[in-house]
Amino acid sequence: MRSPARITTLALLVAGAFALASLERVVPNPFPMVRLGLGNIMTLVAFSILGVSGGAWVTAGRVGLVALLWGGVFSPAAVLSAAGGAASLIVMVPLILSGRFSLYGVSMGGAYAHILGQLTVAMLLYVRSPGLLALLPVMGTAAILTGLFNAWIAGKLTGVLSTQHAGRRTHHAANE
Amino acid sequence: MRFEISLPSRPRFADGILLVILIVLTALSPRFLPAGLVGELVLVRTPDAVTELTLDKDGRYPVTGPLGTAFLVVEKGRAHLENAPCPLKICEAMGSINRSGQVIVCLPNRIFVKVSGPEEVDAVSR
Repeated sequence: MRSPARITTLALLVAGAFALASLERVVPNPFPMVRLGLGNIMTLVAFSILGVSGGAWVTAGRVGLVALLWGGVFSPAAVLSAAGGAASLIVMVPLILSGRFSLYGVSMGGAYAHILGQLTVAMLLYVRSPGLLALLPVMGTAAILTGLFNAWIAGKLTGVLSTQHAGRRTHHAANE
Repeated sequence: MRFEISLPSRPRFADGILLVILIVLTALSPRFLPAGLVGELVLVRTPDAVTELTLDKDGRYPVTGPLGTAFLVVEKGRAHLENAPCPLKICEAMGSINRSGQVIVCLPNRIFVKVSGPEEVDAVSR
């Protein structure tokens, strides 16, 4: 259950998600209002190879690390990022457990839930005006597109990882 | 705790349905907005001050928050933010506003702009 291999893989995925999320903040973006959400790639990979709890840990780890390193644990940015992460998990986990969706549906649903969660919390805590919904056309379109893109990358990555670690995974499964 | 899950990397039928639902939701979202009448005044709130500007007169007004100064540009009865110092520039992406209840918000720079007018809604109950 808590095999060293699983914990190590989880740690690597959290580190990867943190690195990608940080990269996104550092590299200049011609459309700063739209985030790619690259960190979610690692969450998707974790869902694929470690199961539901793995993906949840990677999301929680990324949100926590980004908040610690990139300004204030209770800053608006950190609160909104936590809201987005929680909302995306609330949607992604049932989508996975239903067994009907591929990485694409889960990624898209998660990205969309992320922005809906952020907008809802921003409206409840900071802005108190439904006018914020005016952002939905831009952010929603971006969420659909980045969700599909991230699913594609996560699919490639999962393919590579599961062929490379096929031997170890059977050993790992035997231990459980 | 290891659930048996199947998460294929090729799209499935249900993904297509979800895609259609999300596209429809995104396309229809502007309709859920309270559509106020065209307003004449904008309320500008910064950490230091609350001011009101008229939309009738064109102009370029500095608005300053903790990150720096952006400009609220009023032209042809509409207002938008320019030169925002915040990293994500969501406030610029919110476009130009002229109907009561419409807002421009910059969370990192603590700037709030709202068109006030006769049709303004105080609260929305759900």
